[in-house]
Amino acid sequence: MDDETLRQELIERYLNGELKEAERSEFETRLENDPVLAHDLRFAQSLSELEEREEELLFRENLSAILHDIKKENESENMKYGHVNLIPEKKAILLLSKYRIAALLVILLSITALLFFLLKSSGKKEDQLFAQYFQPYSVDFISRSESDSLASLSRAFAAYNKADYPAAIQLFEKYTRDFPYNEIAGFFLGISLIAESEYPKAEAYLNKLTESPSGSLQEQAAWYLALIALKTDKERQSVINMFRKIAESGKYKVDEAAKIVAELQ
Amino acid sequence: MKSESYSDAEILSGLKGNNTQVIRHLYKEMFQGIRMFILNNSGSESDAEDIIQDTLVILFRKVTKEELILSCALKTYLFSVGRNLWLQRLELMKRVRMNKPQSEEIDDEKENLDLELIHMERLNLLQKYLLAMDKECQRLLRLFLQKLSLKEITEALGFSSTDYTKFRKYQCKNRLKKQMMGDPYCKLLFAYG
Repeated sequence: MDDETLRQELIERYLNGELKEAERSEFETRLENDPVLAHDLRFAQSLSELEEREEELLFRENLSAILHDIKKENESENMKYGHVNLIPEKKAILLLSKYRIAALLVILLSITALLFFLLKSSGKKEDQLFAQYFQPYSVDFISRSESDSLASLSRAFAAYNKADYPAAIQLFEKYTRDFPYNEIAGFFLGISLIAESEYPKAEAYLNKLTESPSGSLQEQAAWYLALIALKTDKERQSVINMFRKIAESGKYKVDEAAKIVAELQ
Repeated sequence: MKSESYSDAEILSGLKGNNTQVIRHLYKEMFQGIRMFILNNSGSESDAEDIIQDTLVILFRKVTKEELILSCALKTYLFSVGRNLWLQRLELMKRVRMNKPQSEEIDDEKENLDLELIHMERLNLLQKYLLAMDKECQRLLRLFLQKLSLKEITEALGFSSTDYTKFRKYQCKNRLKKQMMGDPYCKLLFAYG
């Protein structure tokens, strides 16, 4: 046995009360002057505290599995309840100014889109593809919270799920005014706006998500932005590039994006 | 069990039974506050997840040992445990960064740390490191922790002799200790009496 193992054995015998009186007092004297031994004793004591805690270890294992599942579900649904961002107040000021910029962008984009619409005729192929591929993102929002803010978000999702997009837009807009950091609300507001053919406004909300540092809905937002581009008569090559990027990202709607690229080419 | 909502008493009894639905409910409904607290206090998403897990294990520990007497709503209690765990972790991490874990100054400051929380944190870390070990060592140590005899463990693991089992036990314990002490945060935690 090496020194380390011998020391462990000694510590174990001490903890189990197996040392003779003389050995025990020698061990205790050593403890006072040997910080490494004291440290090792503390480690062994803690480890022995895990005795008969198998149930707790099983709980921890179960917990890890559950959290892993929840994470996976959230990733696939991108509807992580735990990520509903209730903004800290100090950031709200910064965000309000961002929001004003976004509002300006919406107006500018609306004007631009209108000009495009007047100047260009709609491309049939693009319209067909849009009709074929645009589907509102499915969501199952459950809130058991009693807070007013989450209740209002819940109402917005209820309207969204009933395909009552004008009502959903109104409710999501109200919510995002109060909680501009909430990316989930912004994302579904964007989709509701697409469903109501309000593309420039939708584009503004979705663009914010692609620039978001958290990046939780980036891929989904990129997909809907590409669909908007398809519908709003953007230059064909730039639309192709948007879908190609999605297809190459290997993350979300990869096959669909590749098919659209093929069709457009 | 209902899926809509649970009373605090239902949650505690479900937790005791390791009920997946109750744990999911707890995780989703009771930790938004602590998550935000951590994110607003120098923490990351993964710190928040870690603290939430540890808070749940502490709750489980207290419930199963019949040590929990709630004098407030469960949500408030969980927030307080999670918050204290995080603040203490921040404090200890600061000491790790200062690289003077065993200096006299820190001994003087010891009073500011909650020794019960340090104890909880040690147990949490030990469990995490134990569960991250290779299967054989993990099984071996867990059987020892269940107080099985050397002979029983030797048979359960199909080892050739009790001597070999004993040798492997020390090997695995050494490995666990080495891995933990390689982490400055663990090392600091075990430096406190």
